[in-house]
Amino acid sequence: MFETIQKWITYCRSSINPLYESVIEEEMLTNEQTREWVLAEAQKSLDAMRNSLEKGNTLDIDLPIKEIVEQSQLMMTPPIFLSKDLKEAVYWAMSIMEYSNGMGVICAAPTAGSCGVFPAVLFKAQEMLKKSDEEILHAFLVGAMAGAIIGNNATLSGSEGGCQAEVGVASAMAAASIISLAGGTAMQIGHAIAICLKNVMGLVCDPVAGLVISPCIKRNAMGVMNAFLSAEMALSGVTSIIPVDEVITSMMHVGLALPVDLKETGKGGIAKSPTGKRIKKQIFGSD
Amino acid sequence: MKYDSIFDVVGRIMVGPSSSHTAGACRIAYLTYKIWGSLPKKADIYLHGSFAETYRGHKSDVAIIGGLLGWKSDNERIPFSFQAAHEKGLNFTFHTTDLGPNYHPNSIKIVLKEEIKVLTVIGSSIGGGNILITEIDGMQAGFDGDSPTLVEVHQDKPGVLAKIAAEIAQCGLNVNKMHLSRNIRKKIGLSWIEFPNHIPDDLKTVLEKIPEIQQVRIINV
Repeated sequence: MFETIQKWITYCRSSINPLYESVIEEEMLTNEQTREWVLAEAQKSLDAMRNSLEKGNTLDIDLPIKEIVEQSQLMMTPPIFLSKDLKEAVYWAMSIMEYSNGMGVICAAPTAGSCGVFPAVLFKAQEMLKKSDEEILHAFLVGAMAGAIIGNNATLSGSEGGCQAEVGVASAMAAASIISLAGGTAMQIGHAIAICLKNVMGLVCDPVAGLVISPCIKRNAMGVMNAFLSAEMALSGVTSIIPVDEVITSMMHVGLALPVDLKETGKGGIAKSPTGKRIKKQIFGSD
Repeated sequence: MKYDSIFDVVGRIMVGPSSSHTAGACRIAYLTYKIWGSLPKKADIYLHGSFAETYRGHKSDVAIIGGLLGWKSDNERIPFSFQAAHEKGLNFTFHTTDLGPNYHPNSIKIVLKEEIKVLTVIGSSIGGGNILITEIDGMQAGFDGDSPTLVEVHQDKPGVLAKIAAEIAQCGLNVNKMHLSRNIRKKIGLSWIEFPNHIPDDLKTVLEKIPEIQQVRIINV
């Protein structure tokens, strides 16, 4: 495991191999396994992601908060401001989250509450750039490594760091993977991760009734846009003034500074709004 | 470092919507099923703390029954566990409870019964789908079910662990972790031993031949 994003970037720049090879090498060492094992394990997660995307649209989901049932479907209408592809990616992320709420099988990336972002961005980028399944597997490895390094230097848990640690990290992972898919550099990945995390610095985790529905499903939609935006910016040459590892440390400090009410307890933010409290009472019969 | 491998971050495939309240709940029940050793007939499930408050919204109840049927947390049948339990003859009752301040806020107590046989397991869901089995029949435990685990109960006499260790060595197995807890009043001991690789059934057979050993369970996750 690389200790910091900068150490990973430095290693990649010193190597003639593609980015994903650094991830395969590290995982072979850590797990004391073969290259084939690493690729097969990654494929399992990727298959679960693909499955959750495909089934997300077909299952009859019974969500506890009736008002938001299948809001993802509304995103299938023709776009007004977004491109057709971006609107569809948002739809995918929302439908995976709805599928998860219907007890569908998902791959946490990095958590169940942020499981829509990474697959929606990755599979949409595959379509847009017409890439093979093998190339997607390689891009997945790059995104996964970004997530693990961020997790080691900050947190991946909403109860520790708020939503920035979940949807924020998910979008950073997704941005890292599609930059590698588009043939970008390790440096660009570093900038995209920094931009992604800065965009959502301090984002709280305030789930209504403690469920993984509101605002989580729409936050996943935002995560998709954050990933595409940051990747586009980095690939265009936009750089982060604050080095990526310093951004990650800052994110942890902000997470620690957040009050407990705003970290997955369902006690602050919109969970504390009159409507939020009314919904909780409707579902659980108590405030 | 919290995450040694990328698969600690992207390798957790599970039913939604909550890694702690759905997938974690299922895993506690699944490990309870493994300790029991067969399909249970009657289960009382006591939900403590946060589980007691939110289990319906997170479908913890549906996930727990799936686990008691021997389904892992990535099993697509989990949403239909209540009907499957009915068909397979598993009777279950959910209770909300307060186990007291000494238990993790996300804890579940599961009591399985069949004729005179009773098993009580307490487990905690500690986040991200990670769990800990903290008590078995009142004896302290502490394994997470991430690696193959052997759980055994024996008469609390000197030398029993040495006999167990000898049999493990005989099978050519490496051990990750080994723990022991004792109940001095009942004069029994419980140990849980975690292995890096699959535990062969032969080990159970040879351990059961040790006179002091009362029960052996192998949990190949």
